[in-house]
Amino acid sequence: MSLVVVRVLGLVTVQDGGRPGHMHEGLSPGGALVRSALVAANRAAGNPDFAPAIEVLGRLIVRAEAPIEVATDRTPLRVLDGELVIESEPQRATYLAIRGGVAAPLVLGSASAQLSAEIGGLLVAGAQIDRGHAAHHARAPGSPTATAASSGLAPARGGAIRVLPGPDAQAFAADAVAALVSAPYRIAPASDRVGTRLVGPYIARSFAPDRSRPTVRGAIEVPRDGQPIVLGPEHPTTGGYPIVGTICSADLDRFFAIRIGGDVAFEVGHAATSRARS
Amino acid sequence: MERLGDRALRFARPHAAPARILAAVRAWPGVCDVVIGGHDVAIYFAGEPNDDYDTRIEELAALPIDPVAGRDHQIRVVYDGEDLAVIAAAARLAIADVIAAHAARTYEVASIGFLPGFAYLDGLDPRLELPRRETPRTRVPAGALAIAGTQTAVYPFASPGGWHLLGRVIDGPMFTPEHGARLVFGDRVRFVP
Repeated sequence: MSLVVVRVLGLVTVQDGGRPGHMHEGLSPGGALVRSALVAANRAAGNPDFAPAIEVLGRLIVRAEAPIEVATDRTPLRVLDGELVIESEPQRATYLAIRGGVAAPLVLGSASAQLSAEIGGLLVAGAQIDRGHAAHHARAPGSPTATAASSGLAPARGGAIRVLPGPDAQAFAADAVAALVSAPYRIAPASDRVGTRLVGPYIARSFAPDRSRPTVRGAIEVPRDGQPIVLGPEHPTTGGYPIVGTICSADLDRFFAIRIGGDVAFEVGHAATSRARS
Repeated sequence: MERLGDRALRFARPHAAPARILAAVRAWPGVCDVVIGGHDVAIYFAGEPNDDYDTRIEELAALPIDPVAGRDHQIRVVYDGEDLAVIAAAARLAIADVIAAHAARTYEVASIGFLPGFAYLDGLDPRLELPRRETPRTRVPAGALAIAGTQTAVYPFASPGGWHLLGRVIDGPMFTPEHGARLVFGDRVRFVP
């Protein structure tokens, strides 16, 4: 049983929980951009939380070759017979899960496409998406909204995205963090799974030289133009731009769910409370 | 030690051989990933870091400095990079002498980062030291052999890049999903024209 890709607009790939454990070789963990949404789609389909699914950053039209059970993070399990249009709007990402998972070769323990390492690739028109193996049929399908809320990964909190300042404070002017939280930023169209580019208040750097240092998903790098870049799942493991702050892990999904062209407001968070306050 | 968000810690790189740091740090409780940069080490956690990592980091200073014997690589290259003339002019050498100087050295893996399999190699002839390009190229091809500062490296994948291009590797990829990075900590490299 399989789906055929009819049309793609944007970035459509197979994603699961990613492949941590290889950063010392320069390979970042990758995986779904919005993990809670991947989990919601899989739970709706009755799959394990991080089973491979189709990540849609944009628009995807698929056609079922034969009746096949599918769900998304927004729609419950249904039998698809014919065409289905999936759009990430009004958010940045949505996930299409097939009951039984999406079949994709495991590379270093993950089915995720990682374009920077030429692992997997973009799904294009004509591509065939096969159902995974029956081992995935472990659980009963749920409703996507209920399962997302109970996953513990769901964006349960509204409001500003919390940022832990640092660690490169010495590379910035004293008011850099104040500038970051002073007004909302807009998510720029040049954003991808490597980095999310923001347009908004200028962040002033001091004259510290650029020097390659370890990075992390959610780090807010500031190039010389003062416009921040938030590192995504396929980020380089080291980077030359100083880091003004890092998004609290509990708020990463909410940040990456904001659509291209949408606005994001930041506030200063605190490490000890970043989990408790949700 | 500094926090790099709430799932990672960063600290100054100890003097010990990087292969020893990597082996030690990967065995710590809760650590799921490690990056050894030129000046820093970062350790990554699946959850909240909750151990006395300060003490553990201090203990890394006691690790031996002498290198761990890795593999010796001979990597086949063609020295036909776009920046050969620029490098030669900056070094006040003939192009043939730039090539000879680069090929004469044995390099060691100093750090790994940026791209999968991108190894920063120490051991460059000081005459070839050159700051990074003022304006990075928007695309450096996969396999490009390059220099910048006191180091040389091979771009494993096509990417933007600010290093000066000396040539290209002709005997295989620098990273494969099956075998991971071709160059790892402890390895020594010679480039063979």
